[in-house]
Amino acid sequence: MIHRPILWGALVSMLGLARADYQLPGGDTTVFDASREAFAQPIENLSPKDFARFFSGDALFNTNWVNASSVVDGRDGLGPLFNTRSCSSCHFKDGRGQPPKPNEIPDGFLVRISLPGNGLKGDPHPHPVYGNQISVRALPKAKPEAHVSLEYEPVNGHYPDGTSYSLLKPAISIADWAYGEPGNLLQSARVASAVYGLGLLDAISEESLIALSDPEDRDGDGISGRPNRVWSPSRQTYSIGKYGWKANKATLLDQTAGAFQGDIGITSPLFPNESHSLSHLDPREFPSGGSPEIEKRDLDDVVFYLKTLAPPASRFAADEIYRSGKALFEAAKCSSCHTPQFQTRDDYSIPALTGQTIYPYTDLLLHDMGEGLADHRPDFQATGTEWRTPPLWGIGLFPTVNGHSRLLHDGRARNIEEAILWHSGEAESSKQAFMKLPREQRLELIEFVRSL
Amino acid sequence: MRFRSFRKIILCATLTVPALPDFEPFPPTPEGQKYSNEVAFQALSNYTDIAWAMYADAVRDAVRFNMAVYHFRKDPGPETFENAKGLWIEARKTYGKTECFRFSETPIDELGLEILINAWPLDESYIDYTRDDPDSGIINQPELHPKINSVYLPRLNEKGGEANVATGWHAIEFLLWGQDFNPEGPGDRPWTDFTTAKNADRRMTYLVTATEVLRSHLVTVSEEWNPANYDGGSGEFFIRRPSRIIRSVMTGIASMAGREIASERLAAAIRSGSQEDEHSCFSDTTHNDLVANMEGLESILFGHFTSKSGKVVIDGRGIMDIIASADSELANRMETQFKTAKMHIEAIPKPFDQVIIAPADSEGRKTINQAISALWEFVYSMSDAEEFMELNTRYR
Repeated sequence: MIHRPILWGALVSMLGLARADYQLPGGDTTVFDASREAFAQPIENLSPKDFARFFSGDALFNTNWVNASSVVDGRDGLGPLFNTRSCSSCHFKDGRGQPPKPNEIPDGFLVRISLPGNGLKGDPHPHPVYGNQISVRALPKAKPEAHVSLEYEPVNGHYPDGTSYSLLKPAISIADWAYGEPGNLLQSARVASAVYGLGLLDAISEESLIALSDPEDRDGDGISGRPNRVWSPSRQTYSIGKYGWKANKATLLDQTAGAFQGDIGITSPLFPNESHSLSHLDPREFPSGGSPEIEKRDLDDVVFYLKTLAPPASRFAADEIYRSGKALFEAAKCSSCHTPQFQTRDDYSIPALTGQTIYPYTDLLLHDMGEGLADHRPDFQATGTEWRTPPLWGIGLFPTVNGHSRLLHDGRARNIEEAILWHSGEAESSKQAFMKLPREQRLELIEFVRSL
Repeated sequence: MRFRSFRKIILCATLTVPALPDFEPFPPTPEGQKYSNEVAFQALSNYTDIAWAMYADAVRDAVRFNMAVYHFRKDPGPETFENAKGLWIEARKTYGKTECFRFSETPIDELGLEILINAWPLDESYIDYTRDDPDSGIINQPELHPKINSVYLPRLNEKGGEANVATGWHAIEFLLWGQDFNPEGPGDRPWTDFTTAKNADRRMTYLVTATEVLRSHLVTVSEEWNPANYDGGSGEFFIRRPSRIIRSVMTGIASMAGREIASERLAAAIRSGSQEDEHSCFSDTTHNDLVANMEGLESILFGHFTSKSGKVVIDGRGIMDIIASADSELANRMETQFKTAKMHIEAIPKPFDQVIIAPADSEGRKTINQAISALWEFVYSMSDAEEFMELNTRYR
């Protein structure tokens, strides 16, 4: 078979209609789709021989896992404690989750917990019974660990021009502990992140992140990004963390196998045991779906799928909107952390992702975001006020794909404007710069972000 | 201005289906353009005629199947049950041909109905009991889902996960056949599931409702192609620039052949070796799906279609003629490639679920691999054609 990349629409540049780079956030991998399936497309230049792996991973990502059984071979072993039954129920259409509505058992949202202090590898100290997240669902013979809900308190403020705004500050409330009172806990709410473009982020070299970091703020700009250094179970060493709201996962395999174990109760070659909190459940009541429950090939296919999901093209209505928005974005120094451009490595394992100029708008580094967003739950080197800069590409498509525009780690911001207004700490001066803009320019800046 | 409108009026007056060769609203072929606008308009007109005829067939068979379901409800028994299953298989084959219009900016996708008509794979336990859980599913949860009706059911589709399929062909297929644990044949749900079993009345309501919803969605898609429908999707179809339409249609054909058939349905299934990845897994009719998909593609590629009744015979220009107007040698090569792929697909042994669990060196698996390679050769050529025809304007 001949292996050559198929460009479904072929090369634009041949016609002399070369597009500006900013319209191609993923370089040659970019997909032109602004529909409900915008995040679910394989990278444009994926080699056809890799499609089988992609769709195999896709099927596993969508599949609802069932409890251990003899009949559904290879897709069984759910729970006994779990948050959800499939990857896609939280990362619906490969997009992002939102906080639960009142009286709703959450999908796409979970509460991390831990005891004060560190675990063995410098990770958060897991609770001896409840582990490091609250499982809100369980198989019929077990009980969900607890019931979680959110209460919101309004935070009112106004712009220098007098326009007022009202933000929502959430408070986590946990009730109905099924396996005893947990004692003093650190808690942090998280929504599920979107999963497209991850292969390109993976293909950014660690050196380029280190080059961007400025832990002592030597350049005196008030911004001191630094990488998280985390234990990687797959590498068996400490590495720079790139994934997760606190950059607490070093590789996509760590992240994916961790989610299978923690969220769905599926053991894998990397994490062969059910998560910590099962010690009090009788194993005889809950047969295993195999050991491990997801085999290596399938797990690798899911990771491959995640790596080859394309970022969608930007959606600027006109070049001027890009240019004027970009000027505002840079003037307010948003771009100090939401770094527009990277070059992917030339030696990455998937050739289609190598040597691409990409526009993810993140530096993947930790920044102090101030008291308002703080969860006071350190994670490896990330402090209780630090968060990883999330990418901005595709951000305007969440309403189309997921039917909501909730942003930030716990989904408290109801739109881009609120997300900006929550910025503080290192980002305080950028937020102030945004707030001081006249209303039209604020809208221009928001439109710029929405179109990325 | 919708060029299509004028033709529609003539069509209504003369009651003929074929395209009118003397009316060519595409601009004359510009100097230096590789393909002929005249041929393109004739082929695309023919394409819309085939779409209307093909979807009309699909609707007719869906109605027949719906009537059989009503019959089963009125007079439940082994014969009426088998009759309904038989007509599901027939209707599914007819529908399978129309999948050639997917991924092509045509009504099936533009209306967002594909996901309600044809979502797959599905989680059985979202709908009904399974071998593992006798109380699972919408049917067995009357407290959670007190009403099963045509408004509520579509809302449950894909709710809380992409495998949570509540409507469409495969949901109905599961209701009729049940889970397939039978290596020799399809699933064998007893017909008494709809009469005396627990929640039988709700199961019957679900079956009838899902069937009605499917029928009505197919009518909606089909009406978009109705030449008498003044504001339909086929009007929209012609309002775009010729190069954009041609590119969409060619991309759709390539996506269907390469991504959908070769990759998602064939390569991913033999890769995992899991029956969970079989397309029509409950009724063991995956083979029919593959053949029908190829027949549909063949129709629009070569411009021929005969309706099931034989009353509508379309024999005009196809998408291949547009390609041939640019490069006849390439078109000839593609014809051979497509026919080779179709031949291999027709040669895949039945039932499909036994082929995907067979050893890698088995004849069946070899045939599947040959089909995959042949489909990709065809898709490569389609990509070459797109490049040669300078249809590379992905947007604007």
